[in-house]
Amino acid sequence: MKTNQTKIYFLFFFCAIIFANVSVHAQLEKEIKDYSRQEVLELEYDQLLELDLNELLTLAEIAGVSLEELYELVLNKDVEIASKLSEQIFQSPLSTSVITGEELISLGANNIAEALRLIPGFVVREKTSGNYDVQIRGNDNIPPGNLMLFSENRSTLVMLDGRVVFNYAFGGTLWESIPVSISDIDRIEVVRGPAGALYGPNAVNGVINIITKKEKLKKLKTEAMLEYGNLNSLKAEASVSKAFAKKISLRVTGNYQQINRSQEEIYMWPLGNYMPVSFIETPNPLNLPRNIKPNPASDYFPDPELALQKYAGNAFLSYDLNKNISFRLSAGMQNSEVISSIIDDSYIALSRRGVQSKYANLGINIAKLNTQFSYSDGWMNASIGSDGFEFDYQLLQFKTEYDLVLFNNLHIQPGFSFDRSIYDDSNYIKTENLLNGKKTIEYQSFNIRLDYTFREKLRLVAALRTEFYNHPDDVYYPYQFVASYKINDKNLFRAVYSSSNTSPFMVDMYTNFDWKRVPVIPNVTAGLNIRFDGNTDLKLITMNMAELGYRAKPFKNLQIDIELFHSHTKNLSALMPDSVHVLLDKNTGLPISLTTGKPIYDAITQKPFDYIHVKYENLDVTSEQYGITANFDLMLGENLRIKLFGTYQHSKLENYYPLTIDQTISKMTESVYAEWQASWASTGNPFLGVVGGGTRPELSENMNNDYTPSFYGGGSLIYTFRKKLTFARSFYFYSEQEFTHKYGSTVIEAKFIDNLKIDYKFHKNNSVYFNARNLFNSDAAEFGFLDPVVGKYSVGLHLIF
Amino acid sequence: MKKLKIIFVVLLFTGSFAKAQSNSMFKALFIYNFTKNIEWPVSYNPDNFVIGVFGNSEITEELDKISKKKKANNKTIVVQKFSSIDLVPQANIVFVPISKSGQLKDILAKVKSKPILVITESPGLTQKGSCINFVLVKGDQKFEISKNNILSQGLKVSEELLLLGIKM
Repeated sequence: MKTNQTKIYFLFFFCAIIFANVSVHAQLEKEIKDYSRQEVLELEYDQLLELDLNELLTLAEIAGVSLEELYELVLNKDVEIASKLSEQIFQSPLSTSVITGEELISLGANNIAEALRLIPGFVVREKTSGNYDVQIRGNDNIPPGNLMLFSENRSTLVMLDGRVVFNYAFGGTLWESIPVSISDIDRIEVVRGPAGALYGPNAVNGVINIITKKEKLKKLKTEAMLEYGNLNSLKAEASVSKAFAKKISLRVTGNYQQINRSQEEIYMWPLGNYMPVSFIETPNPLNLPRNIKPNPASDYFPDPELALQKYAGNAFLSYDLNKNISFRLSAGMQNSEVISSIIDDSYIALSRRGVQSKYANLGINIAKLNTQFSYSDGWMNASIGSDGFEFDYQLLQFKTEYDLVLFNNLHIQPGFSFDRSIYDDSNYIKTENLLNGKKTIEYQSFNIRLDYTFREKLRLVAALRTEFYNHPDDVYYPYQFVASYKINDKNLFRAVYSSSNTSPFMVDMYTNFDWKRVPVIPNVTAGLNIRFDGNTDLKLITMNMAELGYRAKPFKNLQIDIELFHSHTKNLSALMPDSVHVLLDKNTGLPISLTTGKPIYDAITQKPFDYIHVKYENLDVTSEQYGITANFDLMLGENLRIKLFGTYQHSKLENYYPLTIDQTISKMTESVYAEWQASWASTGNPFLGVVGGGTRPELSENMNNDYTPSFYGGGSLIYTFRKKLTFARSFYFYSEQEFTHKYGSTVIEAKFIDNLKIDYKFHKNNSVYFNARNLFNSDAAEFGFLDPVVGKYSVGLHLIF
Repeated sequence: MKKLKIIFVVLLFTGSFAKAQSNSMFKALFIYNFTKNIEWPVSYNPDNFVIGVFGNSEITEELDKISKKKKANNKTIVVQKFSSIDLVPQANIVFVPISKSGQLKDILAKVKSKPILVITESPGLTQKGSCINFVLVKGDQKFEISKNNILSQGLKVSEELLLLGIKM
């Protein structure tokens, strides 16, 4: 990390805290009758003591303090993600989950990605300490046998207060670059399945919206959390917040986190083993065509032990002018560095990634018109030490939507969105560069959603969006049709049919990369070894899904949610070899690489080649998934809550190309040589010039997708004893699965992970705690060829003033 | 198996009292607000404002929280738990929880002619002499108030408070 920049950011953060502290003037007094039940329950004593008796009576009515109503309040929370309207989760037309920040703190979740293990439908694997791959309902490692990039989730939309935090460079989410910490979160809302008609591109497997807290308390509130544990893990979170002048609320927060890897070694495929980082420098190991990496090990891993280090600061300001007009502004910065799965085509399984960014996000709500502007820019190096993965980037988002209500039972929600993302590696041009310039992905979309309820029983929803991109030229139409029927207050059936697509990604569209594995051969312009190209005509990954759902409340303290789903995903894309070329010496007729003395041999055939062209293309493979998710949410009294959930699914791949990228290159090399030899034999003379092309074998297979676990889920239990002592137990599991990379395959063992947090409030809300993640130290790796994941044990202090 | 049964019983037991716990915070806040609308004789309890709680009740903890933050009639609030009729303190307010409702008659006899506001939390107790009685009406926390019973204790009550309560 850049030290000076770090100091400046910290200075900024502490100045912000000081500003917040000295600006103690006024109070937030929303109309009491407008408080939601959740808001009433969150009020603190100091605030309640300032209220008059009539106001307290109103609050008591809203709060509904009976136990039955408490069950309803906790189990049937309000959510907005499924309709962009506030509704109880029992009524939600889509597969929806919500978890509160309070639960996340009670259960000891260390970061947002890990927190998603507490929500149904997620496959969450820890790659290195604190770094995760997060999938919704699987669809991982497609296509198998390619780069690690394609094994990770690139098709889930993650938002922070409605602001998209998507990695448009490679697709997916860089979890460490999300600037907020667990203590900043009010709740996380999730929709499983395609929701692009509501949220635009990349809401393919689902949508996650992380909603931050809004301070309602009049008095200045200061909160701090400090946690230290094994693996040299340190976590610090702090915030100050205050409501001002009846209408204004400010919250300033900061967080820092670091943790070490469970080992210093790195898996190196050619050796089939975990090796010390220094082995990178071994010249030409095992007679490989190249060194493990071209530069000294310290360029890539100056501290191979450090898995994650990050810090961030945020400020949240909200202004409620009146009931109809409100503004919400947030701004912040983050700086992160991780050692995680390799992004490029190297012989090692890990690379170091750095991200520095800042953002501003403005939401304006005027009557029924909601508008959001957001801007972020930053720097990213996806593989520090390697050439070509360093960018500056800018993301601009604008969206506006109106909610027109007719006859009290019909919502018409038209909207417009504009997004522009720019990635530019011009400032970091080296020998090899991925984009070679400034590239833009831009799209506009128009959307409309109709939501009609008939006699409070039958609900019909139709949503459609039209998306126009600068590339590809095709117009996309994500859609969603939903019907739900509430038999009574305890039973609800629903059916969904929906379709969503990803956005284009920078690497898929604009890769422009020359991998010079040996020095360029003089006077031979094509002697570039491997050429990678993007493809602006790629069709976007698209999923269609049909889903049936049933929700029940058999008892007042139990809510059951069952989902049956079938999804079909097409237009998957990846890097595939397009042609293999052998340059022939005009004098000898032999491959030029042999005459230069630095031949590159195909890894399998051991035949020399000089130039391979690899490009992004859509694959014929499609993914089919059938599954069922069940979720049980139970409260026993006021102090005990139990959740249990699991997903069983069958996944298969059709029209799957069974060769890895390297096997394909070998087959093509063989065909080039065969053509050359046939030509030579028929003419009696060696063919002079360039022999190129190569035929890719026509192969297609159907197979079970064993790369997605067939059974996964979890549960949690929170028990509070006399409001002082809280035991929070959670667990997460997945069944055995496989993992295939272009250089090898492995089995990821089934795993059961236990977590425990014990929190004791020693004075008011101030507490000390013990937090164990992976309590029984089940140390199997959770991601192919990456680190063993060991138990993490820490103690912490949580202070609230 | 036996352990499981014990755990289950404990859980049920916990649940049955949860309702009272939830309500107790609002009840305590109501009581604090009552002190602003009831007038005690100036010379009565000149140093402290005493709230007596008969027996065990969740409200004691809630009242304790308030006593650390607020004063009543410019006096320090003292929350005093008492466990028998004979130990009824010289209080400004006596709270009789639902578990002690059966002894209201005895309490009233003890506090007769003393400026003590008697508050209860069981249906029908204002008819039996309670000054203010907490009740749930369709799940909402309300209070019944008896002007006559308050006056008979030698206290004055504001019209505002009478308007907010269910007059009996």
